[in-house]
Parts: sequence; structure tokens; C-alpha cells
Amino acid sequence: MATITALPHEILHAIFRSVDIPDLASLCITCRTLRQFISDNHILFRDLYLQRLDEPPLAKEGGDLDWEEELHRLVKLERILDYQNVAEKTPHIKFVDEVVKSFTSTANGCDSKNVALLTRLFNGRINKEAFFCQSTLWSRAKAPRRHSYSTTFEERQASAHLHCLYGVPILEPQRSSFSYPYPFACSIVYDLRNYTDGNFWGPFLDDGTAAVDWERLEAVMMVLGYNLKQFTQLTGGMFKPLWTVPFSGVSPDSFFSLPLSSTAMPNPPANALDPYNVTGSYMRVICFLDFQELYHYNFPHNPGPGIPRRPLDTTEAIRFLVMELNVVDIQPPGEDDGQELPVVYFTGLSRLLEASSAPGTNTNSNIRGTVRLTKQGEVRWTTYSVYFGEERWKSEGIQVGGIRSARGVFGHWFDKNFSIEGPVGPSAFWKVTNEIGDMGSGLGDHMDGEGNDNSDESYDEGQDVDDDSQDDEPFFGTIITISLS
Amino acid sequence: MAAEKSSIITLQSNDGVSIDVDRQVAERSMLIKNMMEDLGDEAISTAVPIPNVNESVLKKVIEWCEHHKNDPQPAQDDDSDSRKKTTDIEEWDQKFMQVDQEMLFEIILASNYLDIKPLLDVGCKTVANMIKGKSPEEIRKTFNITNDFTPEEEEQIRRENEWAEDR
Repeated sequence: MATITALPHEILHAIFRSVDIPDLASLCITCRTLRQFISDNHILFRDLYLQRLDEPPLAKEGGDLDWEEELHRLVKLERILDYQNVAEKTPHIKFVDEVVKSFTSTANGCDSKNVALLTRLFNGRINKEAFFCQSTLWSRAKAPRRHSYSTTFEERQASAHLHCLYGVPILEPQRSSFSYPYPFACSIVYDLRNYTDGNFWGPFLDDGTAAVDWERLEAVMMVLGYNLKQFTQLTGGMFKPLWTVPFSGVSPDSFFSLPLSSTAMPNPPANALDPYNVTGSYMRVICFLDFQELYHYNFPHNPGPGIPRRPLDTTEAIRFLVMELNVVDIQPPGEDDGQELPVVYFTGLSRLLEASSAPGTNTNSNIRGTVRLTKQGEVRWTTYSVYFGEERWKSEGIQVGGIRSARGVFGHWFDKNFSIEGPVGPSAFWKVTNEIGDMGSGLGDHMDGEGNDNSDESYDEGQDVDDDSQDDEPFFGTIITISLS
Repeated sequence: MAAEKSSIITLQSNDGVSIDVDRQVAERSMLIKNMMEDLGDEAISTAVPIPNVNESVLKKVIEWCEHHKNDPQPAQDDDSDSRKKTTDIEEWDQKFMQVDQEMLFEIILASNYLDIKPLLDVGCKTVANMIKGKSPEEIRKTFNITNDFTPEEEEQIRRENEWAEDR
């Protein structure tokens, strides 16, 4: 008589690959035969894993994973995200961060099961609040006068990290009793006390190791996200919204080069020796405060060590740039760098998009910089903007999603001489194409003649876009469309 | 193609019963299809023995093949949509699988032997659905499994599998 325990192994396999993972635990407890079949059944667990998640790069290279342990983590993640309320969920934030980091770093660059799974799991409002809105700035937005937190430093970092990986800046209060978070993000980004030798003025912890301070990176993403949203509204839809797709471009190798002319095939990476695939054209967005406002926000008052400045609800300026970068040198890592990859040196050009330019601004500059790994394996970009042979601005950033990710590099720009009065601001850039030239020359056409001397317009952000730049509409649209698709 | 449709072949179950089947229907079985291709018309004139399958199971399998005779052949080793939810079993197949457990396993074994992948799939998913969400005791009861662990062993195994609890 045919019974389940008498079935051939190939059929048991076919049945058990269709059950839910926790069912396997129940099956193990039923009897010896099934337990023997399931325990340490590498092939079964691998099969179940690959149904749900992308094959990790390690496994593709022939390495081995503890598939069963990975599935247990997935089950635990799903269970936590299924809890009913925020208070039950948040104690698990570090575990959730660890698993999400692992799933994003092993995701396929396109058509990723991991990304689809995470998008589904974090779709609900409660999970967003429980995991993406627990950093210091969110705690302040809940209770502005309180400077003690119910979460630990590590938990707040984990939340900010998750928010950065999620990549769609959350700008609305998650409950009606909370304040809007933007002014609290500004109070991090525009507090000059946060720019120190210890953190290289970049999005790092203040300990000289270039370990990423995810809370400051989160604030950068939110401030830029807020301004992009404002800009989108201001331009009446001409400027398509950015950063709207959850977990997009969040994994290594998620960047895919776009051809600049519609007929050409995408170019392969220009330099086979450059692991970061630097050479190509980039979109960049930066924001800044009016210099007076930045000064008066920071001086002379100092609320005291560790105490944040007041929330800053303000209007910033926003600028869009195109950068064209070329690798010029590749060197072994220094002793303070991550040792797995070299340091890549690049030079290039940066052009301000005329539509967003302001009086007295030099629209074009030379760029030079480096890409390297931090000790923790994050991809760190440093750039210098050079005007007429003189370095003026510097930036420090982290490529969210790791090496060759599509998301881009988030961080801070600041005075190259580290002036304690600033200016400083948030910066993000992301690669559009491996090509160089067409995008830049198209830009050059638009900027010639009007570049540096459209002098007397308002310094206020964005206002000048509406009037004097009808010609830029198609071009602008093209660039933004390119960068999005 | 059209000419082939009309040809009839005879299958013989392991209890010696001959069943005439439309060739197109029988060729849902990759085993039979390959055999036909190898033997050519010779096979049509003699009964094809199916040594592992008795009459009642073979008739049931043929019933399934009859209903699905116009389905596209599944691509070889196509696992890409294998993550389909088990509730995706189409209604006719669900009804078809409402048989006693022994018949269910016999159909699975026969479809495995005859290499009818879609039927094997439906059968396995049906069994999987009988397992899903059940406690060990409920699974034992459903499949008439004897608990052959000592109480100490069972306690030990339960501890090993605590990761799955609290669901």
C-alpha cells in the first residue's frame, strides 16, 4: 500500500518543495523516516531557498551556504514583520537590519526575487514605522523636547540603515501626533558641529575609522528627497520624481548603462581594471542653505555637547549637475582602507544644469577624486571641485548598495579648507551611462552664452527655473528620464 | 498532425487489462511518447505494457490526460514558475485529486513512472496542501504515520525545531 513514508525520495522532494518552510519542522517531528529525509537535506533546502531568493554570488562561484540556516532567518524575518504592532517589532530591528542587508547585498542586479520579497514585506505602514522611522531624528519628531531615547545607538543606526536601503525617503509623519521629520533632518545636515576631523566631514562616525554614520546618511537622503519633491511640484511634473521605487538599485551590480542615443547599444564598462566602474556620466544633486541662514543657525548659540540643534524648517537651494568622470590611476589600497579592492583615481568635469543655476555661481568645474573601500567594505567616494586650477569644494559619500550599485553615492559637500563657518550641504550622485560626451556636449550647448552671468535673479531656490528655461525642458526631461529608467 | 490524432494505441495495465487510448492522449506521457518515436508504427499494432500501474490507476491517469490533451507540452526542466502557490491548482484538477489517499499516492507514482510532469506536479502540490499549517500530530493523523520516536527523542527534536514555532 502506498503511504507517504514509502514514497521514493524524488517524490518526497517534489512534495516538500511545495510546503511552507515551518512545515518542515513539523514534518521532522512526525517520524524517523521523514526526519531522516529532511535533516541536512542540502538539496531540498537549497531548492526551497532558490524558489524564494536569488542565488547569492558566493553560491554562483561554487561556494557553499548553510541554506537551512538562511531559510530559518527568512522565516524569522517574515514572522517579525507579521507582528501586529510597532512595539512588538522594534526590539528585533538589529536582526531585521542584518537580514535585509544580507538579502540586498546578495540580490540580483535586475529581476531580483530578494527585492520583490522585501518590497512586499515592507509595504505596510506599520513595518515602515517600526523599522524605517526609529532613528534619532524620528525620535525627536515624535517627542521634540526629549533627548533620551527608548532605543540604543545601534538600533537607531540599524533603523537609519534600513531606511537608506529602502531608498524611498519617508517624509510624512507616520502618525498624526508626530511632527514632520524634515526639519529634524535639516538640524543634522546643517549643524556644523557634525562636521569634524574625526568624520572627515563626511557621513561617518566621529572616530576616524570612516565607519558609516547611517543616521547622518539618512538625514542627507531625506533632505535631498524633500527638496527633489518640492522641485518636482514646482516644475509642474516636468521634472519626474526620483527615488520612488522601494529597494531599487540597492544591490551590487544593479547599475546598467543606458545608451545616450536611442539607437546605440549600451557601452560596456570602459576600464576592465576598475572594479567600481567609475568612467562615465553621472547626475548629481546638491542642496545648500543661504549662507546667512546657515551662519545664524549655528552661531553663536551652542546647545551643548550631544544636544541637537532646534528643528530647522527652511527653504534650501537645489542644484543639478552632470559629471563626466574618467579613471586616471589605480593604486593598491592604503592601510586605512578596505583591503579587498584598490583605490581608483579619477578626473573629469562637472557642469551645472543651467535651469538650476544661480548668479555668481561657476557653472563648470573640473572634478578629481577617489573611490575606495572602507574597512567595513562600504564604497567611499571623495571628490574635489576645481575652479580655475583651485580646489574649492570637497565631498565625501558612500555608495548605497555597494559596488556598482545603481542607487548612487550619498553624502556631504563642504569647503575644501574645512571652514568652520561652512558652507556645507547634502549631495548625491548616481551613474547614468558608461558613455561620456553626448550628454555633456548637449549640456554645453544649452549653457553656452548664459553660463556664468545670468546675474540679478533671486537667490531663492528654484524660482528661476520657471521663467528663463523653456528651452531646457526637453533636455531636462531627457536627462531625468535617462536617470530613472 | 491531424492524421495522427485518429490513431489509437493500446495500453496494458499490470493486472492485464488492455485499454485503448487516443495516441495524442497517451503521449501526455513522455515515456510513451518517446517509446512511440523510437518504435514508430510498430508500437501501434501491439499493446504497450505499463508494468507499474494497475487498471484503476491507469484509467484515472488516462482521464487526466484526456482532459489535458490540448495543453502545451511543458518545457524541459522549466522551474522558473515553480514558486507558484499551491492554491494555484486549477479547479478541475482539484476535483480530480479528490480521491482516497492511497489512490492519490498511486497517481503520483504512476505519473512519475510515466513521466507526466504536470500531473506529478498537481499530485505533489495536493499532498503539500494537506501538510501545510498542520502540527506534527495533525500530520501523523492525516497520513496515518506512526510516531516511532521515544519521548526523549521527540523532546530533543522539538527543541531543534523551535525556530519554526510561534507562528
